[in-house]
Amino acid sequence: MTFLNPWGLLALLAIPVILALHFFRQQKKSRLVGGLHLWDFARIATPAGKRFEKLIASLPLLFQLLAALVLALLLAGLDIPMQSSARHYSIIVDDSVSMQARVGGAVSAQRARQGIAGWAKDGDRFTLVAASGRPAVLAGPAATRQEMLAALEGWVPSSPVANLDEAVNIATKFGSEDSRILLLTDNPESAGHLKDSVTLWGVGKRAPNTAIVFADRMKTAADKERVVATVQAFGGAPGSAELTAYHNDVAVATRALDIQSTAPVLIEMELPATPDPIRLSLSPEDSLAADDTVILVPAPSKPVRVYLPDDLPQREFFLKAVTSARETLLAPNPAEADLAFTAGNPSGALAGVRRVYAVATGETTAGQRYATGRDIVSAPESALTRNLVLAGVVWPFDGSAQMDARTALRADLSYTSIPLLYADRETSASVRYRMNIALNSTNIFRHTAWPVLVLNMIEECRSALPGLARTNLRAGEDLLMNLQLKEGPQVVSLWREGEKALRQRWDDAPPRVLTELVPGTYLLRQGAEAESPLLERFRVNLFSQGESDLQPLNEVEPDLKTLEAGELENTQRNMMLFYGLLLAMAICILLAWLYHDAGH
Amino acid sequence: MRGDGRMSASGDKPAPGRFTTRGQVEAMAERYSLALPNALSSARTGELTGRRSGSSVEYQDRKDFAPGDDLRHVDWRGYARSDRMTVKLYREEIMPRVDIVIDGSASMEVTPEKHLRRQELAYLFWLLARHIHGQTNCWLAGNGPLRQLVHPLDTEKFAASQFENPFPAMRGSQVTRPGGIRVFLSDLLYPFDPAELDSTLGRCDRLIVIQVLSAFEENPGEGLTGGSMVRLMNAEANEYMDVRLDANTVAHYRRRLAALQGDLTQRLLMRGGAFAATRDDEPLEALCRSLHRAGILTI
Repeated sequence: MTFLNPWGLLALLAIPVILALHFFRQQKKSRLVGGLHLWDFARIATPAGKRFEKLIASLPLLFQLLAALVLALLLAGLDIPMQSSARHYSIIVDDSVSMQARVGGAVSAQRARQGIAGWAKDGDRFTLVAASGRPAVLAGPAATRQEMLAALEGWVPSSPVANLDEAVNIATKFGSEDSRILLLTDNPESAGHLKDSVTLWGVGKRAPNTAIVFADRMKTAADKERVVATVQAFGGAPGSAELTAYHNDVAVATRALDIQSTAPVLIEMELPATPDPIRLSLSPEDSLAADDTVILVPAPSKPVRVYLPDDLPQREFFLKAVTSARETLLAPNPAEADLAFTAGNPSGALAGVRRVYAVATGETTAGQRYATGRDIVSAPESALTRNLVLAGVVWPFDGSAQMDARTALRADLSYTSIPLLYADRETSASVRYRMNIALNSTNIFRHTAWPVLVLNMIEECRSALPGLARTNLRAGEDLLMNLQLKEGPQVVSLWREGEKALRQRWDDAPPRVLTELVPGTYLLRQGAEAESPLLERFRVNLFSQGESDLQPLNEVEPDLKTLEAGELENTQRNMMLFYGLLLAMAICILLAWLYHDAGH
Repeated sequence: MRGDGRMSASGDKPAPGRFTTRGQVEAMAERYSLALPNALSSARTGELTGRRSGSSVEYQDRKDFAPGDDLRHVDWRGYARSDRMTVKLYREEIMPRVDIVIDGSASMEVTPEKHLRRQELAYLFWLLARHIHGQTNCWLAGNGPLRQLVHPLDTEKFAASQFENPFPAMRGSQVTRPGGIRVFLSDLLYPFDPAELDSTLGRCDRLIVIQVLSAFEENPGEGLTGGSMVRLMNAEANEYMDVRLDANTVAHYRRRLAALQGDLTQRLLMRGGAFAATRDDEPLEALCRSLHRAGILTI
């Protein structure tokens, strides 16, 4: 006998309350009257005897106490569990999108469904785990065959990746030590390392497939934009294919592809600028349809305005590097700039600029020292040093500036303990960086590191500008965003087109990074309603070469004899007891009411 | 006789009770008179002028002789003057007998006010009977045979009796004699057959029944919260009854009480009697007015 919710026993306190109510009810007002015969009709049946005896003998009280007792037992979840044993199987199904590949008229996922339906027996129990990027239990634990098959019917594999190891970890938790796990996948070779713990069931079939493995769009002029796509053939060149761009389901551009190898083919299309999504579709139809269509939403436009003062040393090198970066504008004055370079200490006019890089004045001092590229260390997470190769760079710096190490908030580049490029002041609106470099005696301007460094500075500044860093992502890719909320509710919600419920909601500041996004078109709204103002729109496309390549797929018949079932001690709640108690309580309440009423 | 609020039980001695409204009762007795019945079959000849023709010296009228008329009243002179034989009619002079029967049971003392009201009524009717120079007798109905009281307030000398129905004790007693005016003061809250009233007190010229009730007995719904539980203790027996005093119960009780009162009113009216009910918190003046409306008192 167990109590599922022992706190419910607190309801037993109702018993003394009922007793107290009855006790005080017995203490009636009394009135002396000349006779009782006119009152015969109003007589209430009260048992004779002393007060305590009356309480004991009072039928309404007895039934009320019984009802309270049964109610307490119900609330406490009194249960005498029914024990039974059954065989238990843990099943993992590959949830990757390649399971949708249709070969020979049959889809891998359907073969998996039919295989499981033919093998699973009534009376056994199952735990069904979908191996997606973040594996999840589809049915169970210890689901019946019908429940498991129903979950399989509603299962649509769509994940860009299958995390089989994590899925095995999850499935192991539901099985016993000596039981094995049944894993159904279209790519049994990829699960070869799991053979010791799982029984593999290959349901895939090798097939050629042509896929769009990358696509993006960018604005090239005010009224034009460029769509870039990469198409790759897997498992043999199809020869000819066709890539069509659709705007509102109207074909606006078509490119015939002559694919003679499995090497990626890059396609560029110049299209009129539009704020609407553009759909790319690859034809003819092949084994996997999911990677033949891509939707591209408009790319974000976040030009970075750079201010270069006239007295900046080596200004022409700054200017060249800035103008070679995409979407940059030169600001005529600091007030209109997002990023500014300056020599020496920044003036007050630069206080409102989002990013300020203050370089040394360039005058050679007695304490000047030199760092060469191999001695300069980059901070691992620094956005300023991404793709930056400093080999061969001579970086003269003011050795006395090592005192600044105490004021450095974070160093992106440093020489031993001396920060060379570092932030020394940061507010919510702006960051001031210092570059401890003598510009008049370095070779960095003639090194490939210079435009990369300036480009990183510009892109880091761009990421700080309001909006999304990118709008067309690959499934599994993280989205950087910097949302600037308008007037109104400071709530941000994430919606996926085609779904009625919101996916996520942030009542405080929204995060800077969104992760684990599955393919689809997403909307960020200010507010939690479907009609709330739209902040940003972005799209996640499949772009998974691993899933598009159907060559490793294979069909493997499992050795189901080796599939040992776990012994499941099935403990079920005794619903007969539950309904019995419920009925008893209803009867007690009814009898208490009847006897109470019959007292009149 | 006015005093200090206490009165003598036997007429002269101070009574031990708390009869605080004696002056008011006497004032009421000065203002009102006891209404007499149309016929007083057993009244002795007395000082009171009756409504019928009688044998007083005061000549009232004459009428044609009819068989059975008293030959002594035949107007022989008139017969000599005419052929008509007439009889002289004289105003009747009577001295009615008034029996005041007081319920001496404990139920008449459930509240001090009810007890006082019984005293007031007994004293009032005693005074009214004396005003008409009636032959007045007070009777206390208790355990055992009726007890004759010298004075109506002598009830204070006797403890309240633990009995319910007083009619068995009245059977064969003097209050069952025919004729006279009979006043019965009781709360009538015991089970009885109205025919008993007729068979015991009813053989008189006029039966006046005054039902004395406490305020609770008259309207139990006053001053009580709806649905409260009340234990009713019977003053005359060691028993009680638990009732839920809600609006329905009160209404039902009052309907039953009204039915009892209506039945008594009808029975008494049919035989020339009168019925009235009073509650113990009713002012004495209002009580007298209602007795006047009921035809029991006259001004």
